[in-house]
Amino acid sequence: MLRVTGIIGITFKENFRGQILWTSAISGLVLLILVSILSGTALTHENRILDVFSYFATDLLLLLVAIFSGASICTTDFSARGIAELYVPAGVKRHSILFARVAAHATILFLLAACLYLFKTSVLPLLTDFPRPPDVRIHLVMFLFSFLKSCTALCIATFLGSLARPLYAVLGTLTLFSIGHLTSTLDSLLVSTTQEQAQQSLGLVSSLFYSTLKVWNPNLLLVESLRGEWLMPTSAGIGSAFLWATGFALGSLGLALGRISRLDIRG
Amino acid sequence: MSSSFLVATDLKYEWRNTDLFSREPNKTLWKIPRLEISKPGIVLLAGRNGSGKSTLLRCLLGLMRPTTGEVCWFGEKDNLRGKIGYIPELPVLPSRIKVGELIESLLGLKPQQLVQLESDDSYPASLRISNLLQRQAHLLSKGQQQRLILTLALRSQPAGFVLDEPFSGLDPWARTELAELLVTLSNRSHFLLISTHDAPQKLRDHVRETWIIANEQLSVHAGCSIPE
Repeated sequence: MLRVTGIIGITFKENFRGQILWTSAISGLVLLILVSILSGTALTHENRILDVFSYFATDLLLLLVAIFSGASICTTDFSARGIAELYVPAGVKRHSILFARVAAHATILFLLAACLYLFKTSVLPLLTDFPRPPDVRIHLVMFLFSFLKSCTALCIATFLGSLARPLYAVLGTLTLFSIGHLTSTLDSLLVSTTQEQAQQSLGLVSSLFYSTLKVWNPNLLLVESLRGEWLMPTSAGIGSAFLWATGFALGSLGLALGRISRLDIRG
Repeated sequence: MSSSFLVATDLKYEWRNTDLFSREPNKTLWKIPRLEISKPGIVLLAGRNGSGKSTLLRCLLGLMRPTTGEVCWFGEKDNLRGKIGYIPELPVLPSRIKVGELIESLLGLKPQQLVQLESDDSYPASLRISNLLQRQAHLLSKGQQQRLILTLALRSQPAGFVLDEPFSGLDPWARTELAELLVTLSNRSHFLLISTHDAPQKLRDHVRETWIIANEQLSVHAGCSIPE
């Protein structure tokens, strides 16, 4: 246990002393500031688009950080020489190493997401006349979904990274998530007026996965909100999305754990 | 519980070509019916380049899976639990992590405690690393990294050590110091399995047996049988 917490501590230090995390955080903040400046010159309906864009950008940033972090865990720690070479002969189980690494990255993603959403909801409206939705709870839901989605991406990228090189794992995970984002039926969702109509326009198979699509693409919530006036998703919807995301994340993590137990740690 | 430190049976490692675009045939690195370390002392593992020495060590330590066979340490399968100290040839230490932080994370030992331990005159000079505590671990020289890994391994009080090419890349002073330390450890009832091409004379005099991998087979010889 001591060594597992040690690995989590090491992962934190590695990331907080590295450039990637700070570059991502600063890029996100700059992007949000730019969007807020633009919204000052925008017409009312454009404000909405800018708002959607700011959510999309925050979401994408978290997703990219998650995918790049996850895709390289297995390669740097297990396939190539890495900390597994030190810890495994010392009696630390491989799954403990992977779990500690993933847990540390998930916590970092949580902090990054919290920082960006807090800045967007609390700091930006004070500095500029950036619009704030009347119901702040929707920000909480967006934050939760963005975080869950990035965790799912982290776990899927970790699994794919245990099967292939990090580049292929990144491309594979991006492809999977693009399917969620670039569903052609999103256009029809935009013109739908209710969630039921949206599900109908998705078709039978996709409508079964509507909750999953929402997790992959939290902007669907905004799409729904844009049709009305910041409609708060139902508790059942949030719970269902939460379950889907957790299921995907744990399933991928389980597969990754199974895979690394058979992986050769080469010199 | 078995009295042997290590017993491995029917070990075989076959390198498999998994590259779709290469026609290189599969190759058997070694087939070893039985391998045993039953008493403390130094065992050298030797063989030509590419004969599979490091692969054998990694299979014994559970880092790689042999194609067939079973490895038991202390009578148990797949259960090292820190009983072995492993010193790889080129350890890859985490980046941007200070030596003190690595020691704390692996051993739960505060840097001040290590300084206190090293202030004791009986502490081996070749293991002193308190002057490196503020340095980044991955930027240390090979000799310094080895000292660090040895310190980490020793602190968990293992029954034995597995070392992969510990003398390559070391300066003559460091080689002598390391050889002295390894001899001291073997005299303290530890077993040491060392893969090497160039064992210093100080070590050669204390070698109990030599395992040589040649022609896919492993042969056991008494004393040091590596040509100088």
